[in-house]
Amino acid sequence: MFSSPRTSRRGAGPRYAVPAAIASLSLVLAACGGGSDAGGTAGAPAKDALSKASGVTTVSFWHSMDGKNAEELTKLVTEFNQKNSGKIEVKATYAGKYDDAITKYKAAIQSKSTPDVIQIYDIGTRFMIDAKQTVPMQSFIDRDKLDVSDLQPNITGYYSVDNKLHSMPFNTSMPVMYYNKTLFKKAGLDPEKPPVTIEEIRTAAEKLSKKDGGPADYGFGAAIYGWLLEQFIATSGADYCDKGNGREDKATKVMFDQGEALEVVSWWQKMVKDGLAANTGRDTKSAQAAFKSGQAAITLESTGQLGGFTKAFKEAGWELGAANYPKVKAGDAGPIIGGASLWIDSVGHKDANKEAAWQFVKFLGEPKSQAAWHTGTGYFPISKGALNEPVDVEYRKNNPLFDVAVKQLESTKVTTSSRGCLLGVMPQARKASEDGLEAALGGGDPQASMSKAAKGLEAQIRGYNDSVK
Amino acid sequence: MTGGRRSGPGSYVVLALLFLVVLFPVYYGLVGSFMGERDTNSFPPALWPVSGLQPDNYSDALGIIPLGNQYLTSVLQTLVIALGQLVTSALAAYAFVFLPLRWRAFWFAVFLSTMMIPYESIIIPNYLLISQWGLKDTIAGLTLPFLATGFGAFLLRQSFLSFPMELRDAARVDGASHFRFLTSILLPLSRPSLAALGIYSALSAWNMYFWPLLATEDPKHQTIQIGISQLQTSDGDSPGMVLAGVMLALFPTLLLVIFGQRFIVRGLTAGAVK
Repeated sequence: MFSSPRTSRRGAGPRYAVPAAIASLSLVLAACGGGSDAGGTAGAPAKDALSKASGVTTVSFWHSMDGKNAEELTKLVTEFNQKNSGKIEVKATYAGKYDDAITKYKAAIQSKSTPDVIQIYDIGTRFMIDAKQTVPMQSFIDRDKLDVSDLQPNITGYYSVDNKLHSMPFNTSMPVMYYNKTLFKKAGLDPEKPPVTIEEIRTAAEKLSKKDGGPADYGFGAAIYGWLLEQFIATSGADYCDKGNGREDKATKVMFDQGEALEVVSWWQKMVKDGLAANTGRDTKSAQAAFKSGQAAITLESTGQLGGFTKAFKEAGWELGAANYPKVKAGDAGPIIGGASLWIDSVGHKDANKEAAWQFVKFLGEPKSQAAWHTGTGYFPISKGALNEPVDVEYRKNNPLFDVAVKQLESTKVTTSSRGCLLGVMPQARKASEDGLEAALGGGDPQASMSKAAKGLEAQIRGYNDSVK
Repeated sequence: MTGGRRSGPGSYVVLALLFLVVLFPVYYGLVGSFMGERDTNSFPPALWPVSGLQPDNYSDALGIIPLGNQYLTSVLQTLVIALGQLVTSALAAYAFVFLPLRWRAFWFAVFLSTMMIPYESIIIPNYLLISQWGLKDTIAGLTLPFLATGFGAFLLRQSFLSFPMELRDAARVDGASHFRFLTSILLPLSRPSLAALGIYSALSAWNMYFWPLLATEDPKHQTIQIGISQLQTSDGDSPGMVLAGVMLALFPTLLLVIFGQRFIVRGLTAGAVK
């Protein structure tokens, strides 16, 4: 089967181990250089900065959108450039996958050649704040007295620190549980009553798995992917790291080796041991392929997969189901959004560029742009109004399962656990949790495996916190 | 391979099997690049396009990235690096073998020690230098840090060491200068080693990912490897399209290996056994 290094919006796959190493090296450098060199104005520039500038202001924009998403982004950029013809021109550059892009950005800080706008993944948020290179979105919003009630509070919650929106959310996804309704029926399960808790997943998997005479090879199959573990912690209403998920103060340790997280790891391990769950490793594509080919009947994935799954199921003649992300115990806590946001650079950038960048970022967040973006890519719209745009209504009529995600998001209360952990070394933390989970699924003791992974992070967290003091 | 005694039909069977194993990725890449999603998603995997050819994969790939420009950049970058390494390595190796340098062994050791510096540790300083000189988005910026290599000097030195000194003496007697001897006699006779180094440098240059990613900003100046990584998404991509891009990028390297393979093997073992 086609296999590839994981390239996700999220974790550091094995192939990117090298850039990651450079990243941590230059991180310290960047942190040293960043703070002392706040040359530009820290806040938003004057409103007329752009109109005073002569000629065309070029906005450099680094992004990590690939494949079809890149096409859709290009469309939006072109539209913006046409609208602002003669005044602003956005030049979009593919800066590599998220991990590579943030490394490239760190190098650019060193050489004082940062782009005007950069797209950074969710887990790079703490670093971006500490690097002190950017203007918080809040300064622009306050200056323009902009009404931001159209933005989904669950999404802006992630990117808000100290009650300030630092970056503008852009491409957003949510985790959901996908299941194969056809296989559910074959196994004698009610396809309209998907499992809610991990215990119920096990009960369903016992009927679904080939081992006990069920119709699928495995009842359950999801990638060894730290993001999923983070979601289980959130849907339990618990925190991933201390200090209120790093929202009150800089977090000093991760807590994925205790409480519900540990319960999930033990449950998962037992599922694999009993032949109820497929262990397809860390590559998310393998787990996707197992689900698409009907080998696994239940999987956990992001809303971004809805299009791909729908297409594959249609071709196979099966019926696809989607439901809320499972919980350890039933309750009203919800998952964390994922994806990336846009940051406007300040240090070393002219006021006209900052203002032009803000116009561009604002444009991307408008209901119309978000509706186009959502329907073209499958990402979740950050704007509530986007859901009422005709093109969006039409899309959701054709993809009714997407409403599962909309309802899930809207019913999730904004709490520290649903806003997610803010940690300077979050990419490394995610990877460590995968090390632990992988060891446990391979037969290691869950507690020992996860504790070892969590312990290994302490020095890195301390090192980071010291470097940005 | 001692004599021809062992090469019975059995060894051909083994070789044929190994051949299939080695060839399989190329085969699947080629066939997969014409497959629709239905075939790439099926289990067990389809080994040929069961549900029809999908030539759209190629046009889809070309629609996302400016492949033509990126191709050109990659080819230029590869040529400059390969030629640059050949020239600098040949000159350095010449000095180590044929010039009466003082402390020759010591300097050679210093040269070799550069091979032990991990590339990752110098990439940031390199980047700072290149961007200070304003060389981002240029072929110069892409190639400058890679024009000299300790490995190349080492490889050619070993090859030059086995060069018959009688020939050199004869050239000297006939009044050939260093340069004349190098270009008219030594290099032509060391072609296998030069080809081996050239191919090795070209392959590594063609496959570079991280440096071109740092050193370029304009999509048109990016190399094809970056373009290909942009074809691949985590969210519902089409493997057929990615494979189409991979095949396009693979093509030149495949040609290089097919036509240059005998040189690689001959060159790397040259001077290994005396």
